[in-house]
Amino acid sequence: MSSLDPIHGGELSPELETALDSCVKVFMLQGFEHATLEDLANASGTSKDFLEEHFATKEQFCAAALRWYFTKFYRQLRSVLALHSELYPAVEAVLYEFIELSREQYTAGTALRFHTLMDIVELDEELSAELRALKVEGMDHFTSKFTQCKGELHDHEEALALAQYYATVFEGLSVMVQHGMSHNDLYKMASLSLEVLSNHLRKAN
Amino acid sequence: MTARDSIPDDPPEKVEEIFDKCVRVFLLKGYKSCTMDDIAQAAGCEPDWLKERYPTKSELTAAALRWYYIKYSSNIRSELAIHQDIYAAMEATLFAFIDICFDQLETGRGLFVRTFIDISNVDDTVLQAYQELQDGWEAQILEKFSLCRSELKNPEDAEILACYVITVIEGLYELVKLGKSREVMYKVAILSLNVIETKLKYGQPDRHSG
Repeated sequence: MSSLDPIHGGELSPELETALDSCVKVFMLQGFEHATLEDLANASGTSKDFLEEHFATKEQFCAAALRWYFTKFYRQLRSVLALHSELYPAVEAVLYEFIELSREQYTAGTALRFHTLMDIVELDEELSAELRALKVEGMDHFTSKFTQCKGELHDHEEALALAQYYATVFEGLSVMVQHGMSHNDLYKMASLSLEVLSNHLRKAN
Repeated sequence: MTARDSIPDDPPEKVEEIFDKCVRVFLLKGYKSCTMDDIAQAAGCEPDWLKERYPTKSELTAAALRWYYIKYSSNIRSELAIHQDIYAAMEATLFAFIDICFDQLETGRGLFVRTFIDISNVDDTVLQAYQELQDGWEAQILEKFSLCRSELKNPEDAEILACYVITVIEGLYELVKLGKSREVMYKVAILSLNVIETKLKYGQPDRHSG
């Protein structure tokens, strides 16, 4: 059994999800260099044996936490994207789904410290590469939707830039959720951003 | 003399080096576990010099957070003052923001604001500094939209458009961290301005030069 199996496919038990979040807090307070699997076990209310069974090292733990975080989001967003063949309804649905997922994590109190985890992994070469690969993988899928639907745009060459713009909007929304922006305002942000796509669609759309 | 007062007296490069290194030390050694000596060693300065200016980690972290916010907001404040109309002001603001992010990276500094914010969740001194700074930063954008309200088809859109620009700025920061090029970010900024353009009474001349 691979050490990453517990989170394969983005599925994770609520216990392990809480454990992962507690562990990121340990990294923040104790430091990545100093934290041991024992510290992580104490913080998460699990046993050292349990963690060692799943993660051989704290680097593997970080990689797993990152994969969990991104897989959970991207898998859900991919399935929403696949439901819509036209670009506008697809982007609209993904924006709304993204808001809901981000708010769920905010309300549950998890993922608040994932920015710190991401800054930690940036200081480790292998983990940094893993983080970029995960983000690029998620981004590529979204970009490919714009490329597939470029025929719907006035200017086909705008497809990539529009995809990057929406990636920016997703990141911005994620931060605004953490800043406590209201549900209503988050939806207004999504609606405003959709005007950009609307202005780039051919009239027939 | 407070930690905040001491900043202007010291060479900016030295202060910025300390603020950049302290985050790296926090991440590797832990915010709770690290000592001021660890930070001084990483930043290449004397521990006594550091402690004289920032007696505690909380004060150092709050000062570092303040430094980052002031760095961004002073540039943006001047752009907002130079450009009278809202479109030009926001275009200049977004471009200035992108440039500051890239300047940070090109001088070997990290983009660590999120970690500071996460630390604010476990340190009340840092939390207070963060809340004041974030409110001040958002107020700058909001104030400009309020001043230019009459340029909008619907003047009541001023507040929500200010929130939109702040959302875009937060997103730009993350994409720069992800390694997108400056040109891509300029292009994204121009696309984002499309929203403001459609809300203006009289539209905008073709001024997109990138």
